[in-house]
Amino acid sequence: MQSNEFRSDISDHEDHPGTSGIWTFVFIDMVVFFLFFLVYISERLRLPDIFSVSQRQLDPLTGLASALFLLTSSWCMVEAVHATRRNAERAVALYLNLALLLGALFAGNKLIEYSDKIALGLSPVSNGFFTFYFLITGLHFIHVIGGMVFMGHCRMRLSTELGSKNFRKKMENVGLFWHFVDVLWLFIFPMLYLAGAK
Amino acid sequence: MLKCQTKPSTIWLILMALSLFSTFFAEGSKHALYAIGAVFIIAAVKGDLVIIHYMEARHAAPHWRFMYRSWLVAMGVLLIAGHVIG
Amino acid sequence: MEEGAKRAIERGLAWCGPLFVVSIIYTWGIMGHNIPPPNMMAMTPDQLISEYYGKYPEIGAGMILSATFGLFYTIWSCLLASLMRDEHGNVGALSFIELAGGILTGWLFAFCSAMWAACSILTGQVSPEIIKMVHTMTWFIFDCTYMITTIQMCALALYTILNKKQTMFPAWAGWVSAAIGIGFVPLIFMPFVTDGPFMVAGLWNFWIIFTGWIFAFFGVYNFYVLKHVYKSTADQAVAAGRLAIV
Repeated sequence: MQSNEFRSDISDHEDHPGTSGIWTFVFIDMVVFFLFFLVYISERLRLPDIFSVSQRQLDPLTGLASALFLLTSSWCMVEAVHATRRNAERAVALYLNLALLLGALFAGNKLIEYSDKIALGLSPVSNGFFTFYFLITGLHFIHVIGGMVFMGHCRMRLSTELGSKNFRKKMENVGLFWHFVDVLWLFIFPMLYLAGAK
Repeated sequence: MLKCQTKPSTIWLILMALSLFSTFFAEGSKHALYAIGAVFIIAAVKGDLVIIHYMEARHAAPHWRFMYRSWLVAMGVLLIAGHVIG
Repeated sequence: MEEGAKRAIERGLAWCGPLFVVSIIYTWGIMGHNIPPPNMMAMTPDQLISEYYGKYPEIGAGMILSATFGLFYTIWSCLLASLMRDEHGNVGALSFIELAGGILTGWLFAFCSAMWAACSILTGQVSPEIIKMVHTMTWFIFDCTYMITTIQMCALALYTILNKKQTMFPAWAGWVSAAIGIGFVPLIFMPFVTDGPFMVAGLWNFWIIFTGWIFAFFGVYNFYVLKHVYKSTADQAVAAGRLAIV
């Protein structure tokens, strides 16, 4: 990677990354998740024993693997956006493909985890903890799928739209959303898998 | 202090290292409260790295930087307080 | 109709919004002892009487008044629909969906309030089992038909965000409206839980979504509607996207 790809050409304050709409949408989505986390905490305070015991049934290494997949996918998306600004089609294609692949690995890991839990007889109605486990990770999973759909759309339009400001903004918007999905997992992982399971 | 021009790869290495550290620190620590505090503070720090360096919030309008970072603080406070009280 | 009369009516209709908020908080919320509502799924019929209807006889009066004021939501929604026009001044599908949702939501408030008034007024005359049945059924209707308000909020959100020519409502208000509309979905859990955040008086299904709906959605759009109807006719047309700014 070259040092000049990191970048001063978006330091022009008239050309912020993405559009104001995506910054607004992502922030409101953040607030909604904050409210879900607030409700999770209130339930955890109400049923501490159930939550502690139930959390021990989650494998931290599975959560860590998910975090590593998403963090690496995020990195690939950053590189894809930078390559878009250079109009480097092959680099954009490569990094988008990698970002999608890592997203798919996250999704696969999550589905395997869900099926393991269901095989153990655990479901959203098992107890308060598992209601939130399935609800929060399920909502996050929907965001992951959505992000992958957007990335897939950009990958399909790459050869015809690369070079236009519209496509650059689209990539920046998709990137912003994907990084938000990553940031969510940075909190979901310790909250569900690490904290309070002793 | 990380510079604005820090490479994405460097940020990635830091994020990976922090993720590994917080996982094994939480699992291995005998002091539950300190471990909980540490993992959520680390999560907020990682979130800040992603917001500033990956989302490129440093190039966005200042109010977005403020709002997004405020969310990180609010999340950290909520999760730490929620676990410490419990 | 003369322009002056038309504008006076518009402003009157716009003030129905704040009137709805204040009156519902007082009649349905305070007189009706619905802040928060009783957790009927965890109560026996006798408990519902002893701890709610029998304990607070003013519920009946509050609910009858709430049945009146509930329709002010519909009036306000009609005004809103009339504002949701495209750059040619035409109403479209989104306006109709917002209107439909507003009519149904206002009706729901009025209808359900009347049912709860019946529960209150007939306490002592009919068995507690019948009271609980009517009370609970009414709450199922009130909560589980959330889609009528969700479609209203989502239609309004789409209009706000996608109509780039209008400046009546900021885009962020549209996003907030959509988020709250979708946030109603966990109401589907309400009939099946007796505690936790998704029960009828729960942290999510009551406090977060009701507060969000009345302040972050209704309060915000009230503000911008009032601001709009006090503009001049020409400024209104510009704000609605019908005239270019010169």
